[in-house]
Amino acid sequence: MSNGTSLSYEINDVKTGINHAKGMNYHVHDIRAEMKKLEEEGEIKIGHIIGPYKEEEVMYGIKKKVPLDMHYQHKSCGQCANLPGVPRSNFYYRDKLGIKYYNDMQQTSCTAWNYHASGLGNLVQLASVAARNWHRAYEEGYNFTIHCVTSFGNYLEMRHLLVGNKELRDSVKKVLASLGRELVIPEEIVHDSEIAYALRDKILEAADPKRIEGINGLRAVEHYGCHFFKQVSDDIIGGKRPIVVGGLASHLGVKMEEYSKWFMCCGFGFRHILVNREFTRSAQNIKLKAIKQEVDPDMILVNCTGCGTTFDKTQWIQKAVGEDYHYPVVFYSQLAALALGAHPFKEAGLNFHVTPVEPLLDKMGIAYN
Amino acid sequence: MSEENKNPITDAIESTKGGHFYKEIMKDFRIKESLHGCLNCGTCVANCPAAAFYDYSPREVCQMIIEGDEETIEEYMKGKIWNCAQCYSCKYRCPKENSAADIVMAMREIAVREGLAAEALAGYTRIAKLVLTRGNQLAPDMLSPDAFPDWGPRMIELSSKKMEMREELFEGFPGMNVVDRAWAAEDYTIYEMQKIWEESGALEKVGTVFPFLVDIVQDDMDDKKDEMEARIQEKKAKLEASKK
Ligand code: SF4
Ligand code: SF4
Repeated sequence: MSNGTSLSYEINDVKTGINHAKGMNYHVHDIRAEMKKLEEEGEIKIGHIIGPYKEEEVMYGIKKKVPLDMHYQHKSCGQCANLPGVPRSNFYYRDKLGIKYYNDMQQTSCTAWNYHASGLGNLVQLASVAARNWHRAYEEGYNFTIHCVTSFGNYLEMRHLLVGNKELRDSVKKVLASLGRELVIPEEIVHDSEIAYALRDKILEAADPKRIEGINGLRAVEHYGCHFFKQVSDDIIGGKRPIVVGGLASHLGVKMEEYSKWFMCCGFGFRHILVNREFTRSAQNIKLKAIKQEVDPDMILVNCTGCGTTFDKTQWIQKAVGEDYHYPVVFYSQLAALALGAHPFKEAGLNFHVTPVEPLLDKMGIAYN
Repeated sequence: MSEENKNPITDAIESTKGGHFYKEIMKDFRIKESLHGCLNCGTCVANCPAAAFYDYSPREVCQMIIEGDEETIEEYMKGKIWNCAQCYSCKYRCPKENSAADIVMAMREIAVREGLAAEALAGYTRIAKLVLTRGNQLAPDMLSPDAFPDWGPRMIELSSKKMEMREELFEGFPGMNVVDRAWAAEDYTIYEMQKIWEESGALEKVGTVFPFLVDIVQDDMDDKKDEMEARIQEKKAKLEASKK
C-alpha cells in the first residue's frame, strides 16, 4: 500500500459492484439515448466531447465520458467568494498536468442556491441560466466542466427536465433566442471531482514524491454534497454511492475510513446556513460526533461548496455544547494540488479555511510560512 | 421518462380532489415524477434532517398530496415548507422513488407567487439583489464577521486581511480578485442574466416579495439597453448565418 494504488482499485471495484444492484422500483433511464433521439429529430443540439476522454462507469454500468482536456471552468460563486483556494487548486492541477482550460468572465452563477433557498425564480429561468452557460462553453469550443456541487446537481436536473419536457424546452429556446443563443445540451455533465478522479493516475505520476510521502497513511473521512449524488443519482461515477473523492485520495495514499453518518446532510440547507443556523449547527453536531467517536481522522475530505463551508465554519461553535473539534476541511482538488507541489496558502488557499489546517500541514511536513 | 408518460396515481388524485393550493401544486409537471404511491414506511423521515429537528415530515408531504388534504397543505404552505433542507435524502431513499424535495420546491415557488413568503425571505434581500445585479449569488464583501459571529475568531482575522490574501492567491488570474461579486462578470453578462429573469416571468415574481428590487433591475437594464441590445442583434445575425 505504499502509494495506495492497489487499495484504491479494490475499494472502487467493491463499491461499484454493490451500486449496480438494482432497487425494487428502478427503471433504467438512459438520458444519453433520449438526447441522441432528440438530436436526430433536430429538437436539440448536443455539445459533443472535444478531444480525449476517459470512460468511467455510472449506474447500471452505463459509461460516462470524462473529458481530459479543453475544460470550460464553470466556477462556483460560493467557492470564489468564500473558499477561493478551491478554484485556485482546480486551475493549479490543470496547469501542472498541461490541461487547457477557459476561465470565463461571461459565466454567471447557476442561481440554484438562490432557487432552493428562496423559491425565487422559476424553472424556465433556472433552465435558461443553465443553457446560457452551456452555450458559452459551446461557442468557445470547450468541454463544460463544473466546480460546484449545487451547480452540478442543478445542471443534471435541468438536463433531465429539458430532455423530458417539450413545453419547458420550447420556453427556454424562446428565452435563449432573445439572447441570440440556442439550446445546446452538453453530452456529459461532469463535476470537477469526477475529472480529478479520472486523472488519478496522471496526478500520482506527476506528484512530488516528498508530498506523497507526507500524504501516505493520513486518515480521512469523506463527505459528498447531497446535490452531488441524491438530487439526480443515476449519473455519478461509481453508481449510487459516490467514490470519486475517496478514490482519488486513497490512490494518493490516504487511508479512507467509514463512519456511520456518512449519508447524512451536512446541515447547509441552502437557506438554513443564512437564516436558521441553529439547524446547521445541530446537524453538524451529529456528523462531527460520529466522525470523532468512530474515526477521529486527520481531515475531512469534501467536494461540495456548501458542505465545505459548513464543516469548516461550524466546528468552532460546537464548544458551546462542550465539544472540541479541529478537523481540517480539505477539498479533493486542494489535496491534488498539494500532492503536485502547490504552496498550501499561496496556491491551494488553505489559509482561507477557519478550522486550522496548520496541524495537518505540520504532519504532512509541508512548510507554510 | 417520455413526454406521453402518464402517472395513473397522480392523474386519479387530480380528478377527485379540490382546494386552491392543491390545484396550484398539481399544475407543476414535476409532481407527476415525484409521486408513485406511498407505503407510509417512513424511510424518508428516518433520513430527513429537517424531520430530526422540526415538526416536519416528508412522508406527510407525500401523503397530503395523495390525499389532497387541503388543511395540512395549507399548514405547509404557510410555514413548514421552509424547514426542508432540500437535501434530497428522501428522494434517494424512498422505495417508491417519491421526491418530497421536489414537491416542496414546487410549493415554495407557489408560496412566493402568492405572497406567502415575506417572513421566510426576510433577511434574504442581499442575495436576491446580488443575483439580479451582479450575475453572482455570493461576494467576498458579504461575508462580514458580524453577520457570522458563530464562525469564530479566525473569521474576524480573515476578514481584515482577506483582500491581500486574495491578491496573492489570484496573481496572474485576471477577474478573480474582486470584492462585490464572486468574479468579474461583465456588464453584458449581467444584462443577459437580467433579461432571462424578465423574459421567463421570474422578475415579476421577485416583485411579490421585493418590489424595490424590480425597479433597481429595470433602471439598470434601461441604462445599458441600447448598447447591450446592439450586441445581442450582432449575436443573432451570427447565429442565423451559422445556420445557413
Ligand atoms: S419513503 Fe417513500 S414510500 Fe416510504 S413513507 Fe416516504 S414517501 Fe412514502
Ligand atoms: S429534501 Fe427536505 S424533505 Fe427531503 S430529506 Fe431533505 S430535508 Fe427532508
